[in-house]
Amino acid sequence: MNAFTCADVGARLSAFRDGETPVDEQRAMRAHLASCSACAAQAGALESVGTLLRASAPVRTREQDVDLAHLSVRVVSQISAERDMAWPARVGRLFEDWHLVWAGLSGTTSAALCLVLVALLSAAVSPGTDRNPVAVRDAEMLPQVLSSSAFMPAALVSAATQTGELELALSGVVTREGRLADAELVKASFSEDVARLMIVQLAETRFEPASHNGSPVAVRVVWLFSRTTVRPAAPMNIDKPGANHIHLTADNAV
Amino acid sequence: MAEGLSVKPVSLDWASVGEAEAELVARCRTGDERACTALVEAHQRMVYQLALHLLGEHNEALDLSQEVFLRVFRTLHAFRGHASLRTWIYRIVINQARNRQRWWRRRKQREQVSLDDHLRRVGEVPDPGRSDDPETVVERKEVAACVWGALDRLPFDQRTAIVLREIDGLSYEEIAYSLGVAVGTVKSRLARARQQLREELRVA
Repeated sequence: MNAFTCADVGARLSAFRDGETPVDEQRAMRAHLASCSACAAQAGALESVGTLLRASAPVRTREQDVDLAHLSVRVVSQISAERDMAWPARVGRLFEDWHLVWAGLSGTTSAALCLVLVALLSAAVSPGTDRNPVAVRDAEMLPQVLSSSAFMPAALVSAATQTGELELALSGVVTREGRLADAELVKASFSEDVARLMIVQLAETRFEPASHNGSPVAVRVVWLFSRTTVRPAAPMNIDKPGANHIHLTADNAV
Repeated sequence: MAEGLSVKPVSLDWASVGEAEAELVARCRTGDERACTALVEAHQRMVYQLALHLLGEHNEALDLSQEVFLRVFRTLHAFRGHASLRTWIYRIVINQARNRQRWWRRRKQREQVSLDDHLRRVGEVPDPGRSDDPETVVERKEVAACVWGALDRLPFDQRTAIVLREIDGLSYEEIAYSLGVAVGTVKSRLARARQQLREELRVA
């Protein structure tokens, strides 16, 4: 290895002093320090700093030793307390007494059953659920037939064509999903079988559910279908026969 | 030399954990109170001494020592014997001290203390037994206060490195593990710390 310059030595002096330089560097360092008084003085100064530090390091007083003597007691008692409070230890102690286990299981089961019961009751009695539909209070709450769905059953049109005049009243619940449920025939001025067929067809109709405070609610609705023939008092133009209308009205019932 | 240039890995071998130490650790893990007491008693002076050198106040050092041992027992399951137990504990002391000294130093900087207060806080200056001359004793105390004042003004990582090297006599690898840095970083920190102390203490 080439001889070190003062800069080389300066960069390595601290590690050299600690014996943390490679052996070949140590040889070169020693050779340079033996011949360079300035670098030797620097090395001496570093040694003095270390000596000063060690000589000035505080030594423990008797009072400090007494404080320190209690350290292990404080630490071990706190660690033991923490271990006693740890979850596995607590669970382990719980299983030492099976009475507590049974009591705990019974309590948990009872609480779960109560919660289920409360949930069921609440679903049953809260207004607006499918089991507890609300009345239609205003026109805005009236469920609208979806455009993609046909509300006028073919059977109704057919019955109207055959009998001329007709009246039909039926009730039902439009659920929160927009389906017709619990449809019942209230009154029909024609064959009951045809009316039943109509109800089956109506069950396929889809509605925009009624909403209350922004949430969909189930509503009970009564529909009245009627077909009347309007005859003018004055003679009519034979090319313009009286118009036949099927009126659809809806009423609400609680 | 710039920090971080050295890439030498810290590699303390498993052999540094002796059989007796491994057994003590295993017993502590099972919650054996006698083993825990033995572990604390074996290392408490070293922990307290390092805490005192890093924080410079007896009560703080005692408080930190307790925190360190609590941490040791809480994390003993993570000790894998990559370093000796002593070096592993050193690392915990340094981490805890680093967290604490941030606010502790700010508080200390606002206080101006007398020499006697300083000595009351840190302990006594070592007596080489050469002279009982009161003037010499006072002078020695003043020098000690001056040296530890200069040490206190060093950045935490430099102060820690030089305390671990000069007072505790740790090797560079052990210091690197304790500080969680590369050996090259330890070298440069020690060189800078010595240079700064030399300038502050006007050591020619």
